[in-house]
Amino acid sequence: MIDIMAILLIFFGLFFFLSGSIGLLRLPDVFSRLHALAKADNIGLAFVTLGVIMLEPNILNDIKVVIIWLLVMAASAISSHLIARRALREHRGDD
Amino acid sequence: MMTMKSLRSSAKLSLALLAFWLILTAGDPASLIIAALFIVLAILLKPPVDHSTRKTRLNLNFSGVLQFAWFFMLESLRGGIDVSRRVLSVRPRVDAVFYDYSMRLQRPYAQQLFISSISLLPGTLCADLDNQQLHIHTLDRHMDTPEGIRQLESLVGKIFGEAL
Repeated sequence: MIDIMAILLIFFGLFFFLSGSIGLLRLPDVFSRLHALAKADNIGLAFVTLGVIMLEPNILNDIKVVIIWLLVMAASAISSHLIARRALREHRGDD
Repeated sequence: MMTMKSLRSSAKLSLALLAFWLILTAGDPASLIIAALFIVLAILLKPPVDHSTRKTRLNLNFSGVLQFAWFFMLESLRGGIDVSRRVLSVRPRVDAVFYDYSMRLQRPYAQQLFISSISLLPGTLCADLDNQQLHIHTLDRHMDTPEGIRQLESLVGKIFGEAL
């Protein structure tokens, strides 16, 4: 039962990753694409992390996966902000 | 010249990064040389912090952290579902607009957490910062994003003991 739930969670996660990638292709400008990537990947990785934790009995590995999730989330938020700032300043002609 | 306070803060940061590294590598001693290199780089590249002011003291409120985590999880889920629905509709539904938001938070750590969290909430992306003024990009001009951002800011303030 736990295995089935874990696999379902991982599939939910993959669905959000796919949405993020589709957003990258379909949305019209850099800012909108950043929304798709940051948000869909964040929640996608959360679901994959939950699924992996359910499948992995070793608590140390579970902590490791959670730390990786937090680090990826921080990197995603910071890089989105930096890319958006650069794009906005270029658009305004500041640089 | 490094003051005693900045030396102590660098030592604390080094220990925290080392602990992270040891968990990630399951304590593999062969990897410590890489850890040492990146910890030194992190300390050197860390933005300077003015330790003479109370604003940089890090006293976290535990119940504030829990409230923030709960809000953040729910809003992240809403944000992921919202953006997925928009990109998967036949014609992607985007009616984007920029607006300015005056940030009330004063502490640098609180501001950093707030700015980083905005981009993971539904419909919002923090594009630039000019003093206390944030330039926010929203996917839909009809969404009530300022209210969500104000709520997020209050929760971040609570973590760092700033009443807004």
